[in-house]
Amino acid sequence: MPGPDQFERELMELELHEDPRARAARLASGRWITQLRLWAAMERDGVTEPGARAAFLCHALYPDLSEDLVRRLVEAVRAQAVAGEPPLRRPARAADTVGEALEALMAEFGYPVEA
Amino acid sequence: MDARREVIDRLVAAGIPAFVTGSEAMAVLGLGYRATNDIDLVLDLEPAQFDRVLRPAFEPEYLVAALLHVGRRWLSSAIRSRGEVYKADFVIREPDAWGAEAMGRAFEVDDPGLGAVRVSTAEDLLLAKLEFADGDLDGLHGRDIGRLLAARWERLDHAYVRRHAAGLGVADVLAEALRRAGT
Repeated sequence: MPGPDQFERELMELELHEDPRARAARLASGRWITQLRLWAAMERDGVTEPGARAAFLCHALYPDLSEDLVRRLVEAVRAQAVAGEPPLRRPARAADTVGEALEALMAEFGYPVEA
Repeated sequence: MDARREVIDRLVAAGIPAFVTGSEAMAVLGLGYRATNDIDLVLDLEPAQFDRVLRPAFEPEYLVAALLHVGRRWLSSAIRSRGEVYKADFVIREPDAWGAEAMGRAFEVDDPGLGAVRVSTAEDLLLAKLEFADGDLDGLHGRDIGRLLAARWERLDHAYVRRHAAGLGVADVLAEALRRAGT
């Protein structure tokens, strides 16, 4: 019966031999799923105001940003909304997050690419 | 669908109640992203049933580690022996007030990555991180705790968190984390 040390070695062995394109597709899928999760979480939590959404995304994706910078980003997003510019939008497909090339790679390896 | 879904499906088929915790739960709850290729699951299973119920649900396609007793919990892992690389870590708590309540409070979400799955509440995720941090707020768990407090503390059930933090002996760690987070 394998023990914990053998498991770590096994995982590392599998990772070292993972096809680089498969790995790139897997990581791109992770970024895309993260975006979908963030938007799903904002819907669950009732975060709908553009500035609040900007703050939510900043806290989740860029936790090291200073609160002052987050505040200025929030103010900028709110100003854009007041000016009638398009608000932050939920990405519709993976290419909106990872680009066309990685979306094609994701599709090649069977990952979903549409929301 | 995320390949880790297969782990959840095997648990469901074996009739083992479970919920997602750890960094995957952080991601499901919109609290961040970490490029890990594992999933942490808390199981509602008697340790004595592990070999009889869980192991047959995964072998031979997975390597399943022996159950180890660590602190207040039993830990094991399953790793798929071929195909996409990922690992599932299983946690079985010794019976206690918090463990039972956390299992009941876990809620189902339709996750874009995992599909329909039960996931830890933010309060129980915080308590799990406080316990796993083992007093070290400068490590990975400590950073997650800071992140969780900064993003969610105002909306958490403070009485619930403080009650179980006291029961788990991590009330002082929570106080220090709150101080660092400026909340």
